[in-house]
Amino acid sequence: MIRVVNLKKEFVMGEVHVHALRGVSFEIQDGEFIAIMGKSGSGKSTLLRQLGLIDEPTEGEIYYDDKGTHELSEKERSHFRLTYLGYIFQEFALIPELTAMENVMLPAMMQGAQKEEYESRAKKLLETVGLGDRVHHRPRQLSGGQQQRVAIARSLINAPKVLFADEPTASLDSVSSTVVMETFAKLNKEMHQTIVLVTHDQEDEKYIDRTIWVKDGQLTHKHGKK
Amino acid sequence: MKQALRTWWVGIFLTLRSLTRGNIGTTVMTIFLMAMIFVNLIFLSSIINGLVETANRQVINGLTGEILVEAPSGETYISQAAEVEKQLRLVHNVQQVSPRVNFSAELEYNNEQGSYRGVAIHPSKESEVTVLAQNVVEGRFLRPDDTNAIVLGVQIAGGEGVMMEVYSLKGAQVGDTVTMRYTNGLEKKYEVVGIVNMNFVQADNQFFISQEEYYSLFPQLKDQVSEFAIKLTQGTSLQPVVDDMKNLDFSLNVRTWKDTAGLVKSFTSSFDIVNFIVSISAIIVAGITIFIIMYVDVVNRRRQIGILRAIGIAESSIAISYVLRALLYAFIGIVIGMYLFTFVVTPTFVRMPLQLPVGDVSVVIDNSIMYIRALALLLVSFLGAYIPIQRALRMHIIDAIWGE
Repeated sequence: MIRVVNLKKEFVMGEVHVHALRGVSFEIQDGEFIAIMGKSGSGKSTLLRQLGLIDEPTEGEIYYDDKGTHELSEKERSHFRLTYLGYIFQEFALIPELTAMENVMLPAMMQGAQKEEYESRAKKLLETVGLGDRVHHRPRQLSGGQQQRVAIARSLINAPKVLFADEPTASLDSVSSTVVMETFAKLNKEMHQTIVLVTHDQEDEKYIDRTIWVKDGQLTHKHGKK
Repeated sequence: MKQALRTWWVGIFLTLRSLTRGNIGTTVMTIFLMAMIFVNLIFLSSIINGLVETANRQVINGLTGEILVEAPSGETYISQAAEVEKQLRLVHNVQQVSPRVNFSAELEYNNEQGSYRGVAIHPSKESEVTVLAQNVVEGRFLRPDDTNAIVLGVQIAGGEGVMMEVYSLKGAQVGDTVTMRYTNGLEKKYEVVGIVNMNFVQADNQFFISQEEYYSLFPQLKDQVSEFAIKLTQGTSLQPVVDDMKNLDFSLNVRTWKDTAGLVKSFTSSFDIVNFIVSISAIIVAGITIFIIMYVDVVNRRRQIGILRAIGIAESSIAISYVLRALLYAFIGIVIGMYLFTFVVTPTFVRMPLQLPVGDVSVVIDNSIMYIRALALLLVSFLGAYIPIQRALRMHIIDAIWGE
């Protein structure tokens, strides 16, 4: 379970102070598929980055089960991201010199898994996301949708507690977007993967359990489970 | 320990993939640049070393031998020359001894005249110590029984292309007759039997006659010489021999070639300073160049670095991958640079040496200096990569990925 308590984030841009998050509190249960929605500049991506520990809030706490992430050092945060969290970026974010398989297995190598183990896991995950025949392709040899599915496979390699996705379909055409969203839905349904994704596409609501709406850095309303 | 190994393994993995699958053009250019930086790092030093070594060799082979024994201060001649020579030959590691009488005289040829330094030598003994005889470019060297013969240094003989033509006899050749006027007014004609060209101004600006001839003109100086030039067995340290000679029963002024080199010594020591300054600046320039290359690389990959951090790759693995890559670039560049220097630059200079007043100068570099420069380049490559990557890793992940 993720528990967010009074989360605030303030950016200083020159002399202007931007309050991106103004005291946000909510909880996410294990196995939920959550969408964070809101207009552009509402603070939804900022919220996801705080949850994914790639940014630090100005104030407030985030608890994974009962572990407060504000107590972690930078090194521990890195290890926490590696071990417990998966993160998917809007812009695919693969390493161009690595093949699909190598991109996927990299976090597992870092975690210290055995070669045979991470290779077989990476292969299996690529098959899960429908890229079993593209394991040795480099990112530039893959379409946008395929690259995003490689990124999904990478985010899952260390069996994370939570998968975060920041507008994962924003750079994709509608067919690829559907494939990616269906992949998320499949992971959530079949593997009970907790997924938190930022999207501005209301079409995506059909895949998710619950939506957290953000406006001007505050939560407006929450949908109940469908 | 296990975690450290894992960190290194991921760093090495990223390095190898980046090297083998990155932009091949950039990799080749960077390695080529490293090779050029390395060649540049040793090239000027090798020229200066070549210059210094040539000058030193010329002093030993054309002027002084390895040790020069002179009359005690205040005296012009070493008396009991035969006995002194005998004792000098008995000193451990002395191979050859050449007695010389130095004098100055005026030479005249075709209405051209000038005052020059003359040396009365024992030709066969001199040939064992210096290489003057091997550098006779016209005619022959002196023989012990030559009486009316003179060998001119090329700078005295003059002729086309001679550096000090204006002070020379302007074209005296073998077979010509020159008139010599000694300081006591004695005048005698000599036949030019040979011209020596050491390509070394100091050696080529003197003339030679036999001691047989000199002592016949100045019998009162018999058994007296101005100096002994000494050749030692190869690899002998100079100082112990100098000490042994000073301990002989004659008060002699014993000096190594380095002490007698005078002008050459002053310019070689100046060049040592120049060499040091050039080396330091070349290393600084190399460091800055590598820093710029790696900085641009890191800036271009800033987003990728941010993503690697965001997915939990250890910062030390990322740093290792960049530093290792820079070190590999430098290492391959150094190997290519050494190959280029050894098999391209050196043979080229051996074929076409620089023709300078001290002689034909080629490139000379000591292996130890080459290795020190290689280590220096590896060190600056390390720093050139380490500093930018550390700066990039200190950036906030958000700023690295999205440039916010």
